[in-house]
Amino acid sequence: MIPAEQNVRARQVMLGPVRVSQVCFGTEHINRSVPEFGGNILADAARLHGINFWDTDNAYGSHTQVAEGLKHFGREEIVITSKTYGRSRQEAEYDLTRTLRELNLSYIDIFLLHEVAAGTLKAKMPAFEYLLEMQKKGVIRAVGLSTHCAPVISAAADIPEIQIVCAPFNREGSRIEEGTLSDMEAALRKAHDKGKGVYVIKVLGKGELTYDIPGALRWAFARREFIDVYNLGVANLSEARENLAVLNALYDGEVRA
Amino acid sequence: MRTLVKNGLVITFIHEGYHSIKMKYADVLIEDGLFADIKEEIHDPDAKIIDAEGKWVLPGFVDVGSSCAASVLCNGLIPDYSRARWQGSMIHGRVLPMLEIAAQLLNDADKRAIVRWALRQALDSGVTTLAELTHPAFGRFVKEEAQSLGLRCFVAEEATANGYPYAEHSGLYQNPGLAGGRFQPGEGLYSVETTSQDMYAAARAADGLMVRAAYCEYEKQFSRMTFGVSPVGKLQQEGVLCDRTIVVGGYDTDFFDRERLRTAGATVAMSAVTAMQDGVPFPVVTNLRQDINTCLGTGYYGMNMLDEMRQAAFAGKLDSNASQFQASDAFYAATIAGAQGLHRKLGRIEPGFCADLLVVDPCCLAPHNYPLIELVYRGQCRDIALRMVDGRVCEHDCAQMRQEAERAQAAAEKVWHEAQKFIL
Repeated sequence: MIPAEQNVRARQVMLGPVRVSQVCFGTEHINRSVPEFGGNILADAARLHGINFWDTDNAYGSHTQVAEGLKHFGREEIVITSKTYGRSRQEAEYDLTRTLRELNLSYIDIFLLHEVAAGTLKAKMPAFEYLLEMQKKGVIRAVGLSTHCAPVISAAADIPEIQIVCAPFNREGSRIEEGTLSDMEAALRKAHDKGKGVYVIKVLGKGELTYDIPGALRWAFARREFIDVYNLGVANLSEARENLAVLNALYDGEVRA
Repeated sequence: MRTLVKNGLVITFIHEGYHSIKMKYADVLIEDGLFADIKEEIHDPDAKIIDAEGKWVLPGFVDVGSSCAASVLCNGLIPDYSRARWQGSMIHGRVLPMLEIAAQLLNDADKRAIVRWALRQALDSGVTTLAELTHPAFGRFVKEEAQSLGLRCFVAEEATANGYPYAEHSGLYQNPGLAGGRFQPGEGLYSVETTSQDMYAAARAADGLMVRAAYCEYEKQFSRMTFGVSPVGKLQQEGVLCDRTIVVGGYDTDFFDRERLRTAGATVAMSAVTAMQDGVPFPVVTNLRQDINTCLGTGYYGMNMLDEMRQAAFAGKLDSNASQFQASDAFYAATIAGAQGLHRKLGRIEPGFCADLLVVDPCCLAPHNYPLIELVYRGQCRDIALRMVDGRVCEHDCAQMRQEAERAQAAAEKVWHEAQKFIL
């Protein structure tokens, strides 16, 4: 147990063009709390531990909690990612508009194509082109995609306009839907080498690796040469703090991966 | 006629890529029995206002696989007794004999009283839609009393070739033959123990079917010895498993049974209260991992969906671990999963869906940080302040409930008195 008062703070890193905390608060599990309580957890994560990067999506049901959390800060203090499942311009526009309305934002920091399945990237390009237009208008700061498929990451690495990629990555290869763990590592390395911001999800395999949380975290954190940010889905501040402590310990040389 | 539910905390699953819980302070506009709009501030001077300030607004529960009469008649008969003398199943030894005695002994008014009390308890616990698989003697009363109470109800009377199977010690021992029998569209099948080839042929043509299967050891052994396959395997062989089939039971399935259910797109309706009282597995997580739509129903041993969700949340943990089946999963099973099985726009607070909702007063559930966890693990019927079906508020009168309970008790006592002679 890491006491709340212990100064465990997230480092700041660059994710593509956006400066963020190295640990991202994945908000999917915070949807179980009432909006104001969930918002307080997020606010404390930022205040106490420097976790100012929050990842959400309407599909997670956590927009309401994120909106509450944002009320505690100036707009530029927090970095928000949200996403769209849309393929067409109209679908992307609907999702972006709704996201901005529900989060009460005039712009969003990062907006991604969500969970791009193998072979569908081309079909989603109309949506992506809309995101690029909105980026030019200043409504989005950075654009990219999330996917569970290594070939999609590899293909995205070759698209100059994609600035950020997001994929599941854990030591058991869990939640990777297309390609092996090695394929995913190679794809993420490629993306990173081409200047994309890389952030990974499902480091704990959506709960499957919780039998050894420190080990799973260390495995992922040890691969930070091509991973910029770790998006860790947590339901409370204590879990966020524990994860952050493992990461910081690794950086501080207290633990060998 | 429009109704506006103001200022509540709306708690519902949403579907966008997949289902997830969303909580939002919002107004809910209802028009013509459907949810018309949900947003932060709705003004409609012509609408009837329901003030939900400080309250939670949830979709009503969908109870699939209820058994009204058995739930009243068998209260106190099921838990804590050895199953050994009933060939592994209280259903054949006690439940079915009690139903049969009631069917023969009671007059229509008594049957109606029992059914009404059962339905009242369901409504009290937040059920707004009920899909009942029933002894034919009670089907008409379930339909009529549900309508009287304002409940949405689908009733499937159980068709059997030659009546129900009873355990040898029941005093009503019967090993029904499988010849003859009839099945009409809208009916259900009791189980493979009592279904003839002619009935399967008719059931294949039906648009939707409820059938009991994999619900007890006796039935499994019967099916294996008689047909050489499991009950679910038999249903597949006979071509009655499809995406409009609801299998009531599903406690005792193996991997291959589950594959049969998954590939057919069938829904499984399970009762955690039944599983726990019978001491049998409740493989809800196993089902979900195998991609089978699995919903909750109150089964033979109760009519309380709050109890059902609570037991499901506990039993689901036994099937996996403490975090793999959560309050929200039980809520899903009690709302959306049942709606999907019935192919109806129910179970979510979303424009275009049937306006079935509950207003929960959480004053006894503080501190109100995790509403679903608080409701599922601690909620009581008294916490539900308002029930609405198709946009109409269901009346809830405690004095009337007491009278109904007394009438049901009087009827049940007649059955118990008769049953004491041989099965109790």
